[in-house]
Amino acid sequence: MSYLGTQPNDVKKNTGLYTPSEILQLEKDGNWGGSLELIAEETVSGTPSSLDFINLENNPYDVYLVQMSNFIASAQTQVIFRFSNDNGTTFEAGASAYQFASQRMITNGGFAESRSTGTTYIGTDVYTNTSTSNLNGYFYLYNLLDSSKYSFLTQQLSAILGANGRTSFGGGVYPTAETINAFQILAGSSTWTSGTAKLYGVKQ
Amino acid sequence: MSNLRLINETEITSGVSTVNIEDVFSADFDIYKIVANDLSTVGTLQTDPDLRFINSSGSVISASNYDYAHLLMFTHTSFSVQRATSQAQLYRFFSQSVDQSPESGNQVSYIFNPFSNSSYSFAIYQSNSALAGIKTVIKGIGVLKQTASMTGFQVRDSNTTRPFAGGTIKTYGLRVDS
Repeated sequence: MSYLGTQPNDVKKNTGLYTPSEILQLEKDGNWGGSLELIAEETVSGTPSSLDFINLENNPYDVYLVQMSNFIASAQTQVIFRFSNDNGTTFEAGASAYQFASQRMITNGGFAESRSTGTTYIGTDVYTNTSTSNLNGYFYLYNLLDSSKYSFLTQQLSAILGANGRTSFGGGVYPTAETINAFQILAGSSTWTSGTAKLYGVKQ
Repeated sequence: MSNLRLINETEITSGVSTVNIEDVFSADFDIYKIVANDLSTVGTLQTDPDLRFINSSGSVISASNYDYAHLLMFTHTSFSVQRATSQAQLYRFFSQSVDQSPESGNQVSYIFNPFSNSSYSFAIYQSNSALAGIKTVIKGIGVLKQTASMTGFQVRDSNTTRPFAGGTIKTYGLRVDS
């Protein structure tokens, strides 16, 4: 449901306040709670190689937002992504399953391109490490549940590797038109030791 | 509750080359978020989905007052910078070229101060698209160098003869806690 009323209708600028009657109407329509719906929150437990989100069909959205906080791995590794068409039983990892492109920026060095037209994952060129090398960021997912569309991802991530900040922005695509109902955040060839990811649906 | 307030959701009707989304910018918010997904064309020939602002009189701004700069990140070849000043639109604002489904263009952007009549309208954007063998991510900035109050925007097929088949454009106001 759209923001209600005839604009401008804010009581105070930039507050997005609703009147009591508007709140009642939104509750009645099942839309109260804002335009992002928190679907799931996953926290690393043990030392898994990935953090998986499954059952997307239970909360269908055209666009999802995922926020990643304080990810740490057991060894230096690149954060990568994969999709699943069987609800997480397996994740697509064919030699040419994905394409990606990202721009990497390092605080003490040059910028660099990272790309591939055929690979087993969506890469980011952002590496995390042990201890204080926290990785944070977000990514958007588009059209995953649409069996007639390709599935897209755009990301922006940052981390500390050694003493240097590293940021990446870019994205990737799974260029196969089929339903994707799960995805995973992988610690490259290593394992996660901590981190939390929140999955949101971008409400219509 | 999130800080996004859905102001408008527009489904693009198949066969149109321009889509006007009006009366979304107001004194209510300074910052807006646009989420566009699944932009595609009717035909097999691609087009670039651009943006033009719409002023409070309902006029689409086509004057050469737009500047932009973005990085095109290709999966198949070296990245390239694209920038221009004094343009009639924000070129490839919604994504690199798009064509028929299942390929499409998808984007998230932020618009700053569009309703203000004392500042320019600024934008930052990040998109992803597929077109035949070309898969592209774009990250960029744009500005309309007019201080007039803008109340909406137009999604346009830059070629003008390669209409859209579909797509969804959602516009949000960004609540700021102070």
